[in-house]
Amino acid sequence: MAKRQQSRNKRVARTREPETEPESARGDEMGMAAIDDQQSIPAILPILPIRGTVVFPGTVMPLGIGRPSSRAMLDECLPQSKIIALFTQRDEEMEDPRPSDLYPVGVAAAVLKLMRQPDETVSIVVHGLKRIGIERMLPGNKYMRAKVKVLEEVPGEGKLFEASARQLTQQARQLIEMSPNAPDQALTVLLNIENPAHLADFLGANLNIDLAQKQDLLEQTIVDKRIRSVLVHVSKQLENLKLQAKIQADVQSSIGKSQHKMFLREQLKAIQRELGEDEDSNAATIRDLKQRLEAAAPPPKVMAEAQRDLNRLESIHPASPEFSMMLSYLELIVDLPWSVSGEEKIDLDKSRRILDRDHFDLEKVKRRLIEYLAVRKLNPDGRGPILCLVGPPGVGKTSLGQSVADALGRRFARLSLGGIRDEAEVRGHRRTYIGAMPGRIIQEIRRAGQNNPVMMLDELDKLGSDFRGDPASALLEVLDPRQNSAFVDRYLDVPFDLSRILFIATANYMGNVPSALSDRMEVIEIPGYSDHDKVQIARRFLVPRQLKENGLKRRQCTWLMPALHKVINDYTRESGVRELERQIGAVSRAIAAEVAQIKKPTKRTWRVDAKLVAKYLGPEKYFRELDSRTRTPGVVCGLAYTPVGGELLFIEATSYPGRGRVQLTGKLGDIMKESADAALSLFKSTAKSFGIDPRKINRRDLHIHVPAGAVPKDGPSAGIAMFTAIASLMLDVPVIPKLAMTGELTLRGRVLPIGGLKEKTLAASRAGIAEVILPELNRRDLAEIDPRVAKALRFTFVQTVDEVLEASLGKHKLKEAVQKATQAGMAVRAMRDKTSSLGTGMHS
Amino acid sequence: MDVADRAFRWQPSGFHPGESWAPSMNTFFARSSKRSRMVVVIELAGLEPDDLKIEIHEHRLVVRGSRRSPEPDRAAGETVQIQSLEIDHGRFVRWLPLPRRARPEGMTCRYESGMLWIEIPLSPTRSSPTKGPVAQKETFG
Repeated sequence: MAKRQQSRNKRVARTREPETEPESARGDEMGMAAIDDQQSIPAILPILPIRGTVVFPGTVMPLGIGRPSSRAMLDECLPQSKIIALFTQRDEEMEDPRPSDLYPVGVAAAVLKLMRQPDETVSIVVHGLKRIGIERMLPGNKYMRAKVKVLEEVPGEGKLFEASARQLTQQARQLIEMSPNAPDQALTVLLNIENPAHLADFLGANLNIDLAQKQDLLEQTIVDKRIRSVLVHVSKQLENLKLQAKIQADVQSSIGKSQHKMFLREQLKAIQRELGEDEDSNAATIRDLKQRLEAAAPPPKVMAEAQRDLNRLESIHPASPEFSMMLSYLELIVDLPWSVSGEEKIDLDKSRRILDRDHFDLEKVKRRLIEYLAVRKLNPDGRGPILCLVGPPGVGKTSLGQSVADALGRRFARLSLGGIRDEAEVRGHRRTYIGAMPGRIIQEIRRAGQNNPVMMLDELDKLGSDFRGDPASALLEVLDPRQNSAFVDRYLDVPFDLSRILFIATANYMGNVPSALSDRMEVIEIPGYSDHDKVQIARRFLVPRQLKENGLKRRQCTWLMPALHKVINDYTRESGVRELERQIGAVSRAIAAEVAQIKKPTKRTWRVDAKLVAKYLGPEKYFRELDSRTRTPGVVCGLAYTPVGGELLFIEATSYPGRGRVQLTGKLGDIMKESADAALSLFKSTAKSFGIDPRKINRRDLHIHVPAGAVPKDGPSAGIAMFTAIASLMLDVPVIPKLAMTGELTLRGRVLPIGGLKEKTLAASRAGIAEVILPELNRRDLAEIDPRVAKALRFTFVQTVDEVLEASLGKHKLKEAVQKATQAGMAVRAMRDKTSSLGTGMHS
Repeated sequence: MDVADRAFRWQPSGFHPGESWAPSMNTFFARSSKRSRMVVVIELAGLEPDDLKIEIHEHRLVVRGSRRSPEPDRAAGETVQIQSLEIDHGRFVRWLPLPRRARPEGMTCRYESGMLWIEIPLSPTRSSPTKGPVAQKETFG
């Protein structure tokens, strides 16, 4: 725009010069007499009355001639002279004006063009030449004729005149620039006019002023005055225009905005209609929510809150993000089982049957659950206990939850806590956050559709924790029977009663559960299964299930007891039964493959015996290595307690000439390393009593290794095993075969009790150990050990390391070894004395 | 309704304080290795040489004059009615800014078959001749 303006100005600047020419040429107009001849105004002119317009000198204007008298005048006069007089009628309506009906001042004009239209009318183009006045009307019947005189202008002069002329140009220019419809040339023309009189005429012709005002301008022969009156008009117009432009802009912008909004809203409506989400369906949604809220019957406080939100929802525009946020919140409220409870049919016998049906043994757990049911029957409003089942993987903790729910006739909800690090997963996000959701507990309750389901909090010990908070701490509120009757999920923001839920948590290892949490729960330990249990479980549950899964009928395949024993002993080593099931599955698949290959139906039954198992499962995966491994001195069998159950732990010690350094390998934890150090210190300090010179130990490096080096090991309970390994090595006496031991060691040689006795003895019996050395203080725990395991093992209870050595190396062998060592030590000492007296100085 | 329309009621044709019309004009630049010139031809039929004035004013070519409306001769007692009147008549002017290298002192004019030929030599230069304004028809004086 600016550019265009500029170029226009340039053109103006360039073309301005010649305009001065007529001025300067005015002087030689006389010299152009021959040329001017044409333009000189005759004294007598025919008059053409015109309506509705004033022709100014210098303007070229088309006129339509309709009146017959005018047509006659043109027909008669134009062949003689092209110059006529134009006078404007005072009254536009008058058809046949007399001289008195015309304004006294008109213009002499040259008729430049003439065209006749088919309908008799004539169009002419006139060019205004000079202002004229009527001197005297002349007689004539067809048209008016008059003797006219040219009205000479009074040119303005002086600084004031020049200033007003300049201002007129300036304002007119502004006015033109502000009017977008101005013809391209208008500005050029304006700026090219040098003569102020012409300027006034040009503007007078083109300004939108009424006829009388135009006529006034025409009649004004004093140029100064004409300029001023045009200036008044132009200024007024300019003011108006500015004001109007401002108003228009204001109006337009406000109209523009509201129209824009309206337009968008209409579009939105159309889109919503397409999506079926228009206002009507929203109203329906809200109505539906109201009904569902009534049906859900939450506590009065919650009801009031929800109804307030519902009312707010009605006033929110459906397209706003808040609407959908609120909608999903209200949907949660109406979906939650505020008053829906699972029907309680407490039948202790039936429950017992269901528990027995699904799980073998687990006597302690079942008894606790039955107790809970009994209490529940007597006191239906009592708080539910929070049970925590602890045991190695694969012992059936999780599936126990489902059977409990079955036994109680309630829904089962399972919440896997493994890997949850965000506290908000438990307790929800505040609704102010985008994408906020209720916590998992509320979600599970919503899914269960009952407010008293059995909720399993699985893998409690696998809870994580990071900068987002500690989910375990959030669980504290959930799991406290005194607090959870008013559990407030952050998203829900109103209390929900969790106290009727039966929470059952599971964990592999209580050590990883925060003490505040374990404190709130009733821990029930589920030890691993003994071989006997496994056989029973396999027979009753695993084999039928695997047969079914592999498409075999019961009569097509029978498992013999020795086969199950072989699988359990030689192909698995675990506390649970998962691997056992997989191996049974592998055998079943192999049989299924054979069955499927048989073309014609057969009644053959596959009898799975130990040989068949070996055929299908290949070489044994685990074998009893106790004998060969513990036959050398320095190897001791310890017992460890791990999250996956009890484990047999071999501790190997060896020594070689060196400088008394100790090396511990096998990915030992700090506690185990320290107990190894303690064992070594104890042995060194008591070495003399075994007839061993401590200095001899200092001339050898000791290496203690715990095989299965890839598995991390920790804990203090291998203390006596470490000590025994060192003693056995140093005394060169192997440990009695099939003997295992566990116990913590003090630096003074006392044996302290250990935990996980059940799992450890179970592991020992599974591995074929015959005798176990236990701390005396663990004797009372013996009652808890599976009787079948207790029967298979022989226990020796010890209080001191001396007793450990006597029991593990054998009284006689120990005595012999000590004697032998003492004699050897004396011999060495004698030898050393001899050599030192020779002054050779073997160790300088 | 546009506000600006209220300020003006534009007349269809421009403003001509002096002359009524401007004749049409063609302009050429001719160039050879020897000389270059500018040729202007103006369509101006029915003129007497006296009716025409050609001048250079401030390095502008100005052609002005007046043309009588051509009309039939009349026998005695014969009346003529003008059925149409299209040919421009009356006073006219046409002007043309000259390029800088125009040499107006060497200007030659020739009036032939109703065409006015004006030739102005150009001083030789390497710059492109199209730089000067070529044809500008201005309908106002």
